[in-house]
Parts: sequence; structure tokens; C-alpha cells
Amino acid sequence: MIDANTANAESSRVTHSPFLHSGYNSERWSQQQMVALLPGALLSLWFFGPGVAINIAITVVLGLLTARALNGMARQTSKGADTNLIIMAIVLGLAIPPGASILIPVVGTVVMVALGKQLWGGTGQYPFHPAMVAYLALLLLFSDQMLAWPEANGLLQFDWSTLANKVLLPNPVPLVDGLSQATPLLDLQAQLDSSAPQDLLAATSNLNTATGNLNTATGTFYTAAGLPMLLINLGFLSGGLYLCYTRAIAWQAPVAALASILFCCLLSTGFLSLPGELLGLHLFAGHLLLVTFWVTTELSSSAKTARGRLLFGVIFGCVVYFIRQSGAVPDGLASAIIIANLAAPLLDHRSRVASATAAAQAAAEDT
Amino acid sequence: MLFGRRHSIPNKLRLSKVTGGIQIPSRKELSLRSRIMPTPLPAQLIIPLQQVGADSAIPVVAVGDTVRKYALLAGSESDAVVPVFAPASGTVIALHQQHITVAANRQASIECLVLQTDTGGDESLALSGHDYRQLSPEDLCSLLASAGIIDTETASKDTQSLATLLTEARKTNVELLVINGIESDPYMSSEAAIAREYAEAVIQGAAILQVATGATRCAIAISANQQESRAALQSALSGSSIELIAAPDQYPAHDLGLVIGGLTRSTPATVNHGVNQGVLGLAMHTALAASERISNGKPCTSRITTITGMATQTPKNFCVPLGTPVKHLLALCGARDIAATTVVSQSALNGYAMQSLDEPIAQWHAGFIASAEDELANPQEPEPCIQCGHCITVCPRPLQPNQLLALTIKRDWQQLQQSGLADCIECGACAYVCPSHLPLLQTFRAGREELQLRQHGMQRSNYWQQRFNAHQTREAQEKTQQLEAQRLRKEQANAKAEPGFSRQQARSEIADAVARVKARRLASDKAATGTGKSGHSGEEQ
Amino acid sequence: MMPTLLPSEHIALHLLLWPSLLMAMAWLVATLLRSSAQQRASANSTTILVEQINALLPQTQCGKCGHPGCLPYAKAIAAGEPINHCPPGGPQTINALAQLLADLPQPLDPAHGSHEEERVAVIREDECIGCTKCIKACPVDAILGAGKVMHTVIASECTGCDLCVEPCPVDCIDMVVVSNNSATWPLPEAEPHPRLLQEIC
Repeated sequence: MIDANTANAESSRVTHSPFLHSGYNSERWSQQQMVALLPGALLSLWFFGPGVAINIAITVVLGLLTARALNGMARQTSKGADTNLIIMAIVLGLAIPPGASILIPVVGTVVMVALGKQLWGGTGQYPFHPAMVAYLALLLLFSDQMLAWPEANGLLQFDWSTLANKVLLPNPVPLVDGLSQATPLLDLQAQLDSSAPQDLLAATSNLNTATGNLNTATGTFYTAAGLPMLLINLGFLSGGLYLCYTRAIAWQAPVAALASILFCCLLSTGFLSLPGELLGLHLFAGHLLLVTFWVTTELSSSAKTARGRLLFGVIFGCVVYFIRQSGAVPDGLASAIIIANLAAPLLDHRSRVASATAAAQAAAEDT
Repeated sequence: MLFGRRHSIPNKLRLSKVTGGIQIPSRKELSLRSRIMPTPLPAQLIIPLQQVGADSAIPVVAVGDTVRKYALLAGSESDAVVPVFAPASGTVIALHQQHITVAANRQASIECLVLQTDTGGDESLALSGHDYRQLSPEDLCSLLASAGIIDTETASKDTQSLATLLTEARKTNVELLVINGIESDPYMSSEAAIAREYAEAVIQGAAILQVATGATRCAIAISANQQESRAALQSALSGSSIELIAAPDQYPAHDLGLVIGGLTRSTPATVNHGVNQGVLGLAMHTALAASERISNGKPCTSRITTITGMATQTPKNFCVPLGTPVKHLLALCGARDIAATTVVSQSALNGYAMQSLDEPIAQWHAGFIASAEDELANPQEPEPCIQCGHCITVCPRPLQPNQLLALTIKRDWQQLQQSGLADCIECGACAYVCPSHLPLLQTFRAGREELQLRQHGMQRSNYWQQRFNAHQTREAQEKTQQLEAQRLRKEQANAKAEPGFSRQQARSEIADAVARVKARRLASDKAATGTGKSGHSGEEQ
Repeated sequence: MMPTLLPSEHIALHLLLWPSLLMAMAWLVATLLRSSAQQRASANSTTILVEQINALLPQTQCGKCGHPGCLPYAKAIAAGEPINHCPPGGPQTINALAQLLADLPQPLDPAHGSHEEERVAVIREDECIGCTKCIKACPVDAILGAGKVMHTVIASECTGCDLCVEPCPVDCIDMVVVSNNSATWPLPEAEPHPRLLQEIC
């Protein structure tokens, strides 16, 4: 008779199949994510100046420090640096306007780590994307500064004196008339508000007729001042495609999100013609591509099954379009993500129940 | 829902990729470089008598007996118990209980017979074969059932005696017989080697099994990337009605449930070892053993086993007499420093590390990997789950391993049952890709074990409840019967006494009689005193 | 032309957004509550509740809880008796009952005995005098025999309830632990996830 306990102890020490491993770990995953972020981030740095780098540096360093401190408080042992947190910090850093006071990234980071992540139990436990939670909080707290995107003049023509604004406490800054980030979208919204009734479909169909002012907005966006944003977004797009290609992220959510935005745009023209300007404005004027590839594919807060991811992307895309066209804020990315996050567990659960039921039925048929 | 509905089997048999699954670089070349080698006999063979199910075969030899090769060592009346034959001639030196690893997570104490092999020649019984075409299916079945063959599905997950499977197949009118020669494990190559070198025998075995099971169609499935084996089978199959199916190069394509699901184009459901949806799957080893049994009359006393891994100098496939200790084979392959190496049995993905190299090789052992130090991944400290969902992507079943892990750790058995833990095939693909190195496979194995125990417990307590109810009903019945019987007895007693009988009357009669006697006595006493005669008193007595 | 949104305006607009989020959350919570309420509602009917409780009891019919069999105890629990009177079920049964009845798990009441390993009764057959007393005591008819002939226990039917031990006049019944001769991989221990809130509060 063998002593069962010793056998157990023995086997738990030795037996540990599988004896092979793909070698894939979270470090590699975040390395890929960072590499993919590089072109977009460097282009932002080039066009918007050192403010971008300062924001990212603050969010990353402070984020890691806050996480370490909170982990210590929760007596949780974290092994190594939290690589997932670095990605979220970079995304937050890119989302904050480069001219904003340093208080904004500091507050944003603390909110992201404490309220967005650790409060829920840390890694793998949070239901909402922490960076988007932080972004929404900042938008509520510092609305003016968060909407004040400077003109993208490029690093060479950068007015270094504006850096002084960053060290100051946030005071009301005049909205800079830059044709980047949310401003063309603001413009679009103003058009819609002024010219159209509440009905979304009517409003969007009005777009084609009442294009007088809008055309100038989109036109200027494509020609001069919009070009930097277009290039930056192309940088993010290339990074996102690289991630999809290397399977570091699942393709379903980004593809579904972009497809549903395209569909909504087509719907606005009644499928008569491809609304090039509108689509361009949606894709390249805001940070849609950054959010699509790095936030909708976030691990813990997004859907995890294939079907769930597709639906997650669709919800996100439709909500973004809806908020942009008729919502209160010019760029509804963060709100759309939070709403989609809310639905994610349900999406996963539904697809699980469906498959389990299918399996049970098949098993019943077998017997 | 239609009960017992079958998915029809398509005319063209084809296996496409399963959803999920992983690609692992193959290391089969290591052991496929050389041909299958016969094994020089070790000094001792340790033969487990309990190979399938819960019952042990009963030895027909005693300690000290000398036996010849192929002689019956242990047998049983039952189909479920597999008879054991001598793999070599020699002397029985012991019969004892020994610890044998029977599955990836279980060791059991099993009765084993130790055979000291003859140092001289191998003396075998004279055996004669048959031509299977001249035998009836019943004869084939009884010959195969008495050959001691067990069918092993997917790396010792489940073993079943061929006799039971044949009975079931004949009962259920099996449509398709699949000889499963797919090996998706990166190391194991025994099935590929068999197909390459014994293609004719395998096909003959398949034909024999087709006749024996009464299947209308028969197919052999083999991995698409095993070119040589495929070519050998292809050329041997010319002119035969047996079909050849190429399976995609993907882990775990070997799983019988996935094979049957793919062939019948149905949802892969939980597949029992036996006939599922009109399909019976048997291992390629079984076909080879069946061919040996019918053509040469030999019972199953050996199997083809892979010995591989970077710690061996000449990895290869062996034709091993059952009962050979693992270390004997490792020594034949020139394994360096055996004591320090981890030897993994069955599969690098879902196998287990050997606790002791003295353990004998049984029919369920597909192979052993003696790993060099950096060859196999060392177990790493698990980190918290980051919910990346890779495990969901690779799971060949519609399961969510991340959820199952959380539920297993929470021990939420009801939810686990609903989430389909029972459908897990323990392939280990989830743990292979997990970036946090979570022990998914181990947890699911333990969880499935516990789930089965609980189901068993539930069945047992239901049974006890039935027994208790029956006991109570019986007691109640007995009580009423007893009362009834009492009542009946009383009535009967009354009925018997009824005509002209009453206690009063009897008493008065007795009193009358006593009075009469007394009166007579008085009268006679008077007479005696009067006459002086004593004769009256005698008469009175 | 350029609409400059004032911070106050923004806050007002977000005040529209957040309520919608809260409503969505409330809907989610309501759905969850409803599903659990449905489960509870089905348990309301006493007969169903008794059935559910009975399904969780081990059915050894040992009577250690003070009731003649498991079903009477299930009825008693449904009527409000404590759930910790079942020694054969042990902590596992108590936890399952606590979960079903939304009660707190309690330790086993030692007045009713202690939780022991699984056992079966075995009769020392050469000592048996054939009195049939144990046969009468067995709640599941697992003992075979007749008057003045040897008795034996059918091990696979025995619930290990101990009820036959007491009546035996010659004390020839032993309770033997059921041996499980296989060692298996243990389930990993549950690691409670430390949460910041729990630590701080």
C-alpha cells in the first residue's frame, strides 16, 4: 500500500504536463504591442512636439510606481513589471493633449491604476479599460484642456515657449484652432446640429446636401493641417495590422469595429455612394485607430470568444458613430469602450452557453 | 429531439482542420531515422494482470512453473478482463502487487506476474494461422477476443478490451470502421513506423476487423505530413476497398472524438470508447495485433513503442515484449545518465513523467521521451491569469478554459458541469499556449476526476435511496402481511370451532362427566362397603 | 461658427451619458438578480425544497441525525432544523446545504457524531451465530442470511451506516475503511484573490 499523500506530493513535483510550451509570455506580448505602437507614437512626437514624450513618460513611470505601491498595500506579490500596464499607460499618454498641464497625466495615471485597475483586483480582474476610465475622468475634470489640441506644426517649428504651459497649474486655455483630433469632428457636429433635426438618418443624409461648410472642413483636413493626423493614424494602422498579422491581437474586434463604422457611413448616404470625406474624417481625424487596435483588443476588459469579439467590435463601432453624429461629446471613443466593456461578459457568456448547449445536445443525440 | 439520431456518414471521407488546435514543430524524425528494432529479452518481465477495468485476470500458472512463449498466463471468463500470455519462455518467479502508473494522474496497485526469461533460446508454442476469408465473423470475433488485445485510444486516456468493443460493434450495426493512425504528438512515431513498415499487415488487420465488426466501410486515417507512411499505405491499398484519410497536421488531430466529429461533420461531442454515431475507431496497433492473431495465430504479447528524446543516442521504435522494464529499452538506446533525466511517457503535451523506470511497458504505452536538460520546458511558476483568451482560441472543443480554471479553483461543480468540463479531452493545448504558465491541464484533470467521483457518489446515493425505499415498502408489506396472517389465523380458529362447539357447553359437559364419575364412585364405594368386593374399583380405574 | 463647449456644458452633457451607463449597469444587475430570484422562487414550494435538500444528503440512512432516514431529516431541515446534523455527509454536505438555503456553513454538530472516512460493514463469518438481528437493522437490505445460518454483507450495497453493529449479540461486525488503492493528482488549493478593498477596509 503506497502512502497516497507522498505519492501526491511526488507527482505534484514531477508531473507537470504539457512538457512543451509555446514560449509565448506576457513580456513578448507587450514587446510586440510596443513595437507596433512605435510608428504612430514617433509620428505624434514629430508633429506635436515634446509634450507627447513628457505625457508618456509621466504616465508610464508614475503608473508603474502607483501599481507597485498599491500592490504593496494589498500584499499582492507582483512578479516583474506589469507589462500590460505599460501599454495602457502609453495609450493614455497618447490620448492626453500634448499641451496639457502635467497635472493632467498625473491625475489620469493615478485614476487609471487605482480606480481603473487595482480596485477591481488587479491583473485580469478589471471590467473596464483603465486607460479609458481615466480618460473619461479627465474629460469630466479638465474638459477645456482635454479638448485643446495644438496645431501640428512639427518638431522643427515647435514653439518651445508653449512648454511653459505644461508646468503650470491648469488654467482655462483658449481652444486652439487646430484642425486635428476632435476639432474637425466638433465641426462636423456643429454642422449637424445647426442644419439638421434630431433624427440621425435625416441628419446624415443632410450631410450630402449641406456640404458647403463641411466640405471646407474636410477639404482643409485633407490638405494642410489634417495631413499630420492622417500620417499619425496611418502609423497606428500599420502597427495594428502588424499586430493582427503576428496574432498578438485577435483580428475580430478591430475588423468588426471598422466595418461597422464603414457600414454606418454607408447607411448615411443610403448606400448610394461611398462617403469618402465622412469616412476619412471618422477614421483619420480622431484617435479611432489607436483605440481600435490597442483598446478594443485589451485582454481583461474585452470579449474573449471569437463571436464575442465580433459583437464587441460592432457595439463599439456603432456607439462611436452614434456619439460622434448625435452625442454630446465630439469624440465618443472612451464612452463607447466603456459601454462595450459592460456588454463583454454577457457576450462571452452567451457564446459559452450556446456552445455548451450544442455540445450537450450532440451528447444527448449520441446516447 | 430525435433520440439516437445519427449523423449520416458522407460518401467522401475527409478530415479538415478542427477549430482551435496548435502547431508544434515535429520531432518525429529523431525516432523515424531507423527501422523498428526487435528487443533483446531482458532478464525479467513484469506483466500486469489487470489491464482494463477493475478486475484482474486470474493466473493459471503458479510460482515456479516454467512456461513457453505464447502460453496463457492468466485468464478469465469475462469479456471485460483481458487474458495475458507469456511474451517469452521462462519461469514464473513471483506474483505480487506492484505500483503501476495507469494514467497521467493515477497510480494503482496492480497484481503483477514476474517472469524470469530463459537465457537460452526462446521456446515457443507451435501456432498455426488461418486465412481470414475462410472464417466466419463469429469465429474471427472469438479468435480476436481470446488474443489479449486491448485498444488504446489517445495516449492512455482510455483503454478497452477488443473483445468488448467487438461485441458492442456487432450489437450496434457499425457503419464505418476507422483505423486511427494519427499521431499529432511531436515526438511519438510508433503508428507512423507501423504504417511505414507493416503496411500490408495493417491493411490485412483492418480487413479482418471490418469482417469481424460487420462494418460496411473501413478507412485508415493517418497524419498528412507522414509522407513515407502514407505512400506505403497507399501502395499497399491498391485494389482494396479500404479508404485512406489524411489528417491535418495539427495538434490534437489524433483525438478520436475530433476524428469522428470531422468525418461525420457533426459537433464534436463527448465520445465514448466504442461505437459513436455509427463509427467505431480502433488504433493502428489493434489492427496489427489482429492481423498477427489471425494470420499467424499469435496472441498479443508485444507492441511497437517509441523511445526518443535528446538524452538517447539512438532514438528508435522497438518491438517490445510486454513487461519489459522501461530502463532496459532506454539502455538499449544509449540513454546517458538515466537517473537524472526526466522520462516522459505517452506524449510531450499530455503525458506524464515516469516515477520509476522499473515500471514495465504495457499495451497502452505509446512511447517514452528521455529529455535532455533544456529539451522540454521546465514547469514555471504560474502568474495570475491575464485573460488573454489564447486558451479559448486553441481549445478544440467549444470550451473556455480561463472560465473553467476559475470555476475549478472555486469548486463550483454545478457551474462546471454546465460549462462542459466533462467535454474536455485533456489535450493540453491550452496549457501549451498559456502565457502565464497556469497549470490548466493538471487542474482540469483533477477537476474531471472530482466531477466523476461526485457523479458516482450521486448515482450511489440515488441507488441507496432506492434500496431504502424498497426496504421500507417491504417492511410495510411484511407488516400488513403479518397482520393479515394473524387475522386469518384467528378467523380460521374460529371457523374450526364453530359447529356445535362452545366453551360453556364444554365446561358443563366436563362438569357433568365429573359429576357422573363422582356419583358412580360414590355408588360403588357404597356397594364395596356393602359387599366387600374390590373388583369394582379395578374396573373403575 | 466654432462651437466652444464650456466646461459646464461638458459636465451637463456627460450628465446625460453617465445616467445611461448607470441604467445599463442597473439593467445588468437586475437581470442577474432576476435569474437568481427565479431559482429561489422555484425552491419556495416546500416539496421541491425537500427534494432538493434530500438530493444533497448522502442517503446512508444511518439515522445519526435523530431521524429515521434521510428524507425525514430533509423535511426537518425544510422546517427549520439546523443543517449540521449529518456526520456521514460532513463539511461537504453542510456547505452544499448552506449554498442551497443561503445559510452560513457551520461546523458539524459533534452531538451527532464525527465525519469519518467511507466504511463498509464486514461480518466475521465464523463467529456469526445466525441471529438475523443485523438483517432486521439494515436499512438497505444489504445483509444476506437466514435464521441459524451464517450472514454476510454485500459490500457494494452497504452504506456504512453502523446500524447493524449495535444489535449484534456476539459483536462480530466490523466497520472497515474502504481502501482506494490509487493515488491521484490533487486539485490545486483555492487561492483567494487578495483585493485592495478587502485589505484596506
